[in-house]
Amino acid sequence: MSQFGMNMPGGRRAKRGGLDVYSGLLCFAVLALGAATALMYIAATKVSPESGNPIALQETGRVQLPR
Amino acid sequence: MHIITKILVVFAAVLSLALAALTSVYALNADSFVSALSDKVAEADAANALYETQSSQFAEQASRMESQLRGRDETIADLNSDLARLEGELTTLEIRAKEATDSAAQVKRQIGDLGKTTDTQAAIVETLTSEVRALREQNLNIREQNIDLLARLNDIETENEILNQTKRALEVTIADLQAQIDGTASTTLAGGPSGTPTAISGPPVIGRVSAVREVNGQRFAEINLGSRDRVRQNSKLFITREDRWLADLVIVQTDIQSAVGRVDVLGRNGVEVREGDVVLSSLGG
Repeated sequence: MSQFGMNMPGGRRAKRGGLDVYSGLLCFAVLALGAATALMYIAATKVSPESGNPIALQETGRVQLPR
Repeated sequence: MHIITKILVVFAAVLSLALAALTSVYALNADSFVSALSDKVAEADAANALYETQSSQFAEQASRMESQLRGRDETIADLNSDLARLEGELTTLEIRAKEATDSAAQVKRQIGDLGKTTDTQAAIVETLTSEVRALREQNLNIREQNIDLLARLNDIETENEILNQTKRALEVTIADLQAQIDGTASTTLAGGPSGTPTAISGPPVIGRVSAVREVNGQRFAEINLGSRDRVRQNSKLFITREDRWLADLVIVQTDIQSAVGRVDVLGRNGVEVREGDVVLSSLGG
């Protein structure tokens, strides 16, 4: 009946989601996470024992700078 | 939900996971660094304390070494003064050494002169040696001549002795013949005395006692007067000393130039006749 412009109760088509304020906040969060990840990458790279591997752990009782 | 939102959600989830991992690792590494830093700080504090201690010790040692250095400086100054003094002495010794060298050169020159003198003297000695050798040869020849002359002299003396003995025998014969002519019995080398002792007639005869000996308690004296002096057996002579009569002498044996007589002291004691006493034929002079 919708072709006739008539909507039946419960028969209304589901409304498709669009960009809203939550999407904006999520975008801002993603940007902040990216910046934090970059900064943490740089910082972790500086304290890592291996150069270019920010997730390498220092040996216990023995600290060395990245090579 | 919009597709972009979904994509953002996915990105957010991925970034969250990455950030969590990085944060964990960073935290662990930072903790390691902090602990290491704490250890290093403690070591630095200990090192600083040790440094302070060593600094104080070093300061003390430095002050002590400075005092030693001052002492060494004083010693060096003393040594420098000694060195200067020794240099002065060295200069003096060098001067003396030069003088000694000059003296040695002079002595060497003198030695050279002495060597020349020695050579000259050696030549002289050589000449004298040759002369001495020649003189020795001459001396040897002279000795051989002397030996020959002595042999000849011995032969001549032997001949002389024979002639003297012949002469003596002749004189004895003449004396015997003279005694026979005078009518007096005289025999040489006769036995004991006979008759009364008689004095020698004629000019006085003077002689000396040449020896005194004693036989069987009787003293005999040998005089240097004999038969050629008219002394005969049983002749009576007088023994004097310093113009003082000592004893009588009765001849018991005569020879040409000597005679032996018995000493007669006429019973007196303490009279001693010695060699050299004077024998007289008469006391009247």
